[in-house]
Formats: sequence, C-alpha cells, structure tokens
Amino acid sequence: MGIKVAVIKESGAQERRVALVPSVVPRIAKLGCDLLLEPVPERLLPTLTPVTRM
Amino acid sequence: MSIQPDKTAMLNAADIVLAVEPPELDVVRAMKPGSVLVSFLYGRNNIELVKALRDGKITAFAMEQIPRISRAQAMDALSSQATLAGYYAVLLGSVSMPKILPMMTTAVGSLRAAQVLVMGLGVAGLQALATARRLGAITEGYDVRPETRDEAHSLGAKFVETGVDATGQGGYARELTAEEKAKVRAVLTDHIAKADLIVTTAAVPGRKAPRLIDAEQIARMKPGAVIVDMGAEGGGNCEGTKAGETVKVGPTTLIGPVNLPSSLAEQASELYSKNILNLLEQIIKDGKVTLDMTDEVIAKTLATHDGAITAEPVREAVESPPAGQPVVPEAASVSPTPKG
Repeated sequence: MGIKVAVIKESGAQERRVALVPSVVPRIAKLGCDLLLEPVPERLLPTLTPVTRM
Repeated sequence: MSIQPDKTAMLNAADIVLAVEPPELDVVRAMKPGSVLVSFLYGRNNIELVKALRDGKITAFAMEQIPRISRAQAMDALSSQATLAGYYAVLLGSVSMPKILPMMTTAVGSLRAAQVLVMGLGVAGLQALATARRLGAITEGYDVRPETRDEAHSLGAKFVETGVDATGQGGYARELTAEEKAKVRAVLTDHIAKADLIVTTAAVPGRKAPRLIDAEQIARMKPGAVIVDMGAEGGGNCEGTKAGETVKVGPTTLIGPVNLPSSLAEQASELYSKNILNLLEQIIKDGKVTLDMTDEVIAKTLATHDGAITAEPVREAVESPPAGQPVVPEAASVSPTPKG
C-alpha cells in the first residue's frame, strides 16, 4: 500500500494556484504515492492514470 | 489516484497533505498525528496554525523556509514564485503608464525610452530589471547589498551607488540605521524623480517592509509616473501604499499588488509543484516517509515535528511574542510575497 498524498483545494479568495499539476503526477506515483484529490471538474484531471471514484 | 468527496475523511487518511497557502485550522485538525503537511506556512504570522500543527503532532514543512543553498535551489518556492512576480510587476506597471517603455522611431520623430528603477535586487527585483530591459526601457537597479551590483550590470542596468552596505543573513538585507537611511535617501531622491516606472521589492524577514520612498519623494516624481510596490502585503515600501489597491498620490499612480504569483497561476503552479516534488524526493525513500534530521534542507524547512516547534524564529514568535511589535509577512511571501 502506497503513501497517501492528499492535495487540498485552496480556500483563499484570491488564490488561483494549486499545489500539484498533472505533469508532476507520474513522478509522484513513481515515489510510491497514491494521490487523493478533492472533486474538481473532470476535464482538469490528467488522463495518465486511471481515476477511481469513491 | 482517487477523487475523495469527503474532505475530512481524505485528510484523516492522508500520510502527506499538499497545499499552497497556509491551510485553515479545520484542515490541520482533520489530519492524523504523524502525518506530513507541505505548504507555505508563515508561522510567525499564523500562530494559531502553528499551535494546531504542534498539538496535532503534524510534521509541517514550511516552503518559505527552504534554505538558500545550491542543493536546495530546485525546492526554493520563494524564488520560483518571486521570479514570476517580478516579471508581472513590470507588466502591471507598464499598462498603467501614459507612455511606452522602448525607444520608438516614427515618421514624425522618435519617442524616448522610459526610465525604470527597480529597488531591491533579490529574485523578484532582478527579474523585474530583466523584464523592463527586454521591453526596451532604460534600467537602473538599487539594493543596499553592494554585491548585487554585478548582477544588475549583467542585466544591462546601471547600479545606483549609495555607499551603504547592509548585507544581512540568508540573502536578505539587514535593517538600515537612521544615519544610513538618510544617506541612501539623499542619493535615491534624484533617481526616483527621474523614473517613469519604479518597482520596489524590499523585504526584511519577519518584519514590516522597509520604507524606501516617502511622500516628499513621490511629490517630486514626473506626472504619470507609476510605482508598483511589491512590499504592499508587508505594509509597503512606499508611503501611501494600500495593499490590493491602486491609488493616486499626487502625480503618481501607486499600485499595491497582493499575491502576484497567483495572477500567473498556471506557471506558478507548475513551478511550485516541481518545488514540492523535489522536496518529496528528499523525504520519501523506498516508499516510506523518512526524515534525515542531519540534512540541512529537511532540518531548516521543518516548522513542527512530533509535538514540537522546530523552527527557532517561529517557536520564539509562538511561545514568547515580543510585546507591541507588529509581525508582518516576509515580502516574498508575496504570500507568498517575493523577497527583494
């Protein structure tokens, strides 16, 4: 079982940045991490790894 | 990768939580003891957050504390964000000016290039100088640390010599004495009066942003001149700056931007993600979180660990805050507010 890495949505009204972008996901996975994400529009999700809806 | 509709359950299950800004208290309270947080924290200004991290036994990495050593450059989030902020500050200022930046030859004569003065030659300031130069302006740079002279020259800018050396620790300038301030002011006043656009980026860690330009100097500026005060979040480098607002002060437009990197969110996120990835590669070994406390990067970036506040300046601020002394964000923190 991998390390669970959660990425939270930013709550600041003027904050438009995110902590993780799709291009970095494969390298995070290579470290042995499972990503946990808050719901976002599906079009923004990377297609590099299968998404499991819980 | 999975989508988690229940945020609390997600945080409770996570071994590592990633964020940009200091998280809300309810995020920290939902995290399990021993888990890791990686984000900007600005602990000296977020005392309740630090207490919650300490009491929750969270291992918190403060991205603004990444040490400024060669090996850590790929993790240096303050620098990555400040670079973008410095670039954007020039664009922001240029569109508020009643003139163009480059020299231009037309059928009815030539237009002179604008004079741009950048005050504070850290990461943001140097990028501001480079951007203004690329756009065709005549550039000047000023910093209380004379070693920045060569960097300014390498970007095609003149360096304003004041005869004051205020080299401090960690790449920041130390605070000037009253005598030094007067000496610097005397030299700078003429340069300020000649400028069409000024970008100020000065910051002293954990303190109010230093005042670089006062009302009297602003009153002597050219009509239509613009100042972009990147120290706005820390109280401003200019007299009259209002964080998050653009105001007219006499003949001058004074812009006090906040969170400039967020204005370039796509690339700011890309750079920040890579900074975080490079840090994770230091703390995840063989599929496990492994903290080598003898590693300078890990030791200096940790803010809390195992129920204790490990960052000394943060611990002092939380456990014995100086009475009556305002604590403001480091300019770079341009929320990270970029440092000069």
